Amino acid sequence: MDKPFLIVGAGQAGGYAAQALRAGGYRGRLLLVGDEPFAPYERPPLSKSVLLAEDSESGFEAWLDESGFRDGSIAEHIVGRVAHLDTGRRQAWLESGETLDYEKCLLATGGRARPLAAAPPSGRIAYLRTLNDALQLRGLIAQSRSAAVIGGGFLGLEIAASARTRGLAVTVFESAPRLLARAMPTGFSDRLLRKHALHGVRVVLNSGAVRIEEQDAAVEVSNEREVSTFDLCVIAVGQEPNDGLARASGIAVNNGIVVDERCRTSAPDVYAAGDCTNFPLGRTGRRTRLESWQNAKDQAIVAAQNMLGDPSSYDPTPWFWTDQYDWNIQMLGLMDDSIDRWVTRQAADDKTLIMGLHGRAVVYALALNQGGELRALKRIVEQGILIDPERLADMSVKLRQVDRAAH
Amino acid sequence: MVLKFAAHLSDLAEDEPFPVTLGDERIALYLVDGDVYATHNVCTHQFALLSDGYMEDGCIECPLHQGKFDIKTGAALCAPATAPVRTYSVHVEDGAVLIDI
Repeated sequence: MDKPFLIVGAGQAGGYAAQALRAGGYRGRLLLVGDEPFAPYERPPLSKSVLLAEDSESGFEAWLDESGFRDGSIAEHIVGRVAHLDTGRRQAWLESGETLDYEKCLLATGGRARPLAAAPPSGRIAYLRTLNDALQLRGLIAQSRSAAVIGGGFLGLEIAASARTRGLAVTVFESAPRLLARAMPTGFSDRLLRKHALHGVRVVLNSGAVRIEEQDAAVEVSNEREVSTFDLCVIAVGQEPNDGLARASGIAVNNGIVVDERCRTSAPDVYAAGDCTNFPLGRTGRRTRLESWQNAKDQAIVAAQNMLGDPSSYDPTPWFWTDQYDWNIQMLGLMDDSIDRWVTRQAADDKTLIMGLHGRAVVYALALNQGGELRALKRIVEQGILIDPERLADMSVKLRQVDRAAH
Repeated sequence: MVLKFAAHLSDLAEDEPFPVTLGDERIALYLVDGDVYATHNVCTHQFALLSDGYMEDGCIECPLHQGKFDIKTGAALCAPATAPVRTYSVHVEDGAVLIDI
């Protein structure tokens, strides 16, 4: 009997890869090993609708092909943890002692919340990465009147918005001088800060290092300028790739599992996809890690195609969204130093599209409640179509026709 | 069958979804190759108006997370949308778009 395909990691990337293998005609055994007690699910709701839902189990609908994974028709789901791969013998060793032979293996091990060394272990100090984390945090929010969020990145700000919406007094501590400096232009960072202030969230920028201590029934957060106490402290200071298994198995790792454009690792017949990978992006081949819904889905699908012998390449235009209060913010492309001109289309107070150009090429865009408009730009960004900036700024020109009509 | 007036045909343009509200019902109208179609206007994944989204090749993409639906059948074509969106039968008479709700 042929050896099975093995997917290590039953998160979104692992789930999409399994689906794509079946969609691509793979009929052999497929093993899906993950350390969470759940079938594959998508993580975006964890910091938003899951925290906002008040009942214990409701509010979660982000299962991936629920029936196909529940009945095992897509993959045999094994709850466990792979400790080591013998890439020569094509064997995986589970922590339980069990060994699994494989024909081809996909590492979709994802990432974990970066721990903050300054935070002591405490029932009032929380991290968020998994559904269980989110359910636990929701319980803490229900019992709390105030929360500190350490880290003003996407996850921290989403948690802050959710906790504030549930009535908590929220303070965000961010060490940088502005919010999301790598992802958005200064003017929009300021606008996002004002949005949080308008909803009553206090954001401390330039917070410096914070000290966190459990005090009686509270958490004390302090820096050089202030000492405050909260019922709850959430730490959201970034993510680390789960590349330990690869490293322990002699597979090349460098800030993530190193893969090529076809999702191949340095070991034969071992592929990797999703948050855990470090891959070459775009024409420059700049080594990148992306932590996004799009990456977990699309890179996994490309990996599956390559596992089936179809030599496709992964070449994404990065796309990312965040939902905070009534704002949906989407970003397309990566903000980088090549941007020499900004163009804004303001459709209404809370409907803005900001585009970053290099010459006449749109390399980056940010949309506030303008997802449809951003989508119209996608073709232009992906294909590098050159546009006259004056036309781009002209609200009488529809974006989907901006490169079509006569000049 | 209850036909209700929804819009004038002249209100509609190819690839530009058109939102209407009939009673409590939010509906999006679409013109695809000269034919009019109607779906419920709220994405089945999370609250957003499909009429704010992106229409192309007979499909509508939600503005929030790019979940995609077939305008004619309502089928969900692209994650994160998985449940179909409701469709309505449409009649066009004398330049008026009528919907069966």
